Order: sequence, then C-alpha cells, then structure tokens
Amino acid sequence: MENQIKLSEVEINKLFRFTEKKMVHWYDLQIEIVDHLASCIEDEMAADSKLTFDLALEKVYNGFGIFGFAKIVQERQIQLAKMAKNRWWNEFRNLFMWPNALLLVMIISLITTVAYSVDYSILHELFLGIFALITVVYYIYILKDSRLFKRLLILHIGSTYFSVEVVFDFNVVLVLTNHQMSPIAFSLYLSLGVLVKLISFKLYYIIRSEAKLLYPSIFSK
Amino acid sequence: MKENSQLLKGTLTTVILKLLNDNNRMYGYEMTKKVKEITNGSLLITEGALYPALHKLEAEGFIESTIEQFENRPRKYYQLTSTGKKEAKKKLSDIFNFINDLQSILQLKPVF
Repeated sequence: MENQIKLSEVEINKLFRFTEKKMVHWYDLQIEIVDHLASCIEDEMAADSKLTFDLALEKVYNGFGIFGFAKIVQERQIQLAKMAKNRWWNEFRNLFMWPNALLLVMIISLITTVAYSVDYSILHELFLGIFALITVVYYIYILKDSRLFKRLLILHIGSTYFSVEVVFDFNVVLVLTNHQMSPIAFSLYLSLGVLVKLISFKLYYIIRSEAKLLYPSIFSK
Repeated sequence: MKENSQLLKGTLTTVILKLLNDNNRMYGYEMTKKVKEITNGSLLITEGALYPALHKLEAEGFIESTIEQFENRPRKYYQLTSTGKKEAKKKLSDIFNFINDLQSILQLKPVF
C-alpha cells in the first residue's frame, strides 16, 4: 500500500521557479506543466519513501526527454498562432455573409456618395482619426496586459496576430493609382481599412475576455 | 514497450478523444496514468507527445479547457466540445475499420 504524498506550497512554488528556469515563461503553460510534475513527483515519492523531492523532480524531468519542455512550448505557440489566424479569417469571411454583407454594402455606398461630393483629403483625414482612435484604445489594453504580474502566451500571440498596425498610407495609394482613384475604389479602400482594424481589435478583446475567465487571479491583482 | 509507443503515436488523438468521451473531463497526467493502467503498462504516453496533441485538439475546437484549484495548485481539465464528440465517434469508427483491414491483411482473424 502506497503512502499518499502531498507536495507543500513551498514545493509547488519551487516547481513554478523550475519551469521559469527551463525557459517556460508563460503562466498558462506553467500551470499545466507544474501540475504534471507535481502529480508525477507525488506518485514517485509515494512509491519510494527514500526518494527526496529534488531527486524525484530530476527523475520526472528526465522523462520529458532531451529537449525538456521546449517541444511543448514550441508546439503550443504554433497551435495558438494557427487558432488566431483561423479566427481572424473566419471573422473576415463573416463580413461578406448575410446580414453583415448588407451592412457592408450600405457603408461602402454611403462613403462613395460622400466621396463624390467632398474632397478625398477631408474624408481621408476623418478616417485617419477613426484609425487613430481604434489604435489608441487597442494599445491601452496592450499596455494594461503588459503590466499583469504573470505573462500569458495566449495574450502574447493575440497581440502579435491581431495587431491593428495595418499599413495605411494614403499618399502611397495615390501614387500607385496615379491620382486616378475612383470614389468607389476610394470608399472600398477606406471601409476595408477600418474593418480590418476593427476585426483585430474585436478578436483581441475576445481572447482577453476568455483569458480573464480562465485566469481571473492574474487580472484581479 | 518502445515499439508499442511508436505504434501509439499515430492513434494518440483517437486515444485522447476516447478517454475524454468515456471520462467526461480529465487532466494531462490523469490520461497518462489511465492509459498505463488500462494496458497494464505496455503502452505509455509521453509528456512530449501528449501536451502538443492536446493543444492541437484544443486549437481545432474539438476539446476545451477549464482551470480549477486542486489542493495548492491550479489544474487544467480538458473536455470534449460538441464537435469533439462527433469527431470522437468518427475517429473511433475509422480506427475500427482500419483494425479490420489490418486483420484481413495480416490474416489475424481466427479460422473456425
């Protein structure tokens, strides 16, 4: 009959530091690895009463192979990036589905109508203002998240893939189109520019809300 | 045992889906223990293969996770999503067909 072994809080904290030392800097990965190590160590120590915590840790860590936790971290990054990319394209595709498509046509028609009657530059200035506003709100979130006391891989990937810094240089577009841009092309260009930024912002906000539900303690401190 | 683990590699996703289908929700270490227990230690799931497979299934939307406090540490539990339940059925049916085909090729069926 094996004795039940329960690791102390000090030992659990030691495991968190151990993962950090082994290049797992993301809390969302650390908790999974720490729980695995802890469960494994508890079983090893229960099976062999002479085994110390440090020796059990060494034994369990060796079980992860020569690359240690590196493969787990790398694969997690790849999968989260894939997930982010899929979500972004799904959201983009949704723009062209009913009823969003109707809204999109209405927005483009409205901008086209305005573009016929006013100078492009006035309209462009207005849209630059909207872009600036979205970007500022987005960076307030990023800044807030960078101050969290634990780093989350899901937020890091989110901020990389849902970046709102879309290149939007109107002057370059004018040169490329030889100053011959039609009002329809102009409104399409502006509408898509704003929508791309809004999708990125919305998705970052969603993954942030999901992370908040999964790791409430990180956001409450 | 090493050979068995190599054979397990190609079916790890199906094994995970089946475990979650039968046990509602599980954490990583629990899955490795369960497989070891069911197979009397002849099949071992390595950590280096298990977590990438779990993260892939999560990214594909077949499983979802929740985090709960267990004693003095947080623990991540996985469970099937509704699409994951359908995928589990499909994968199991695929693997049974594959085993039947393999039996036909290797002539493993008993002759009466």
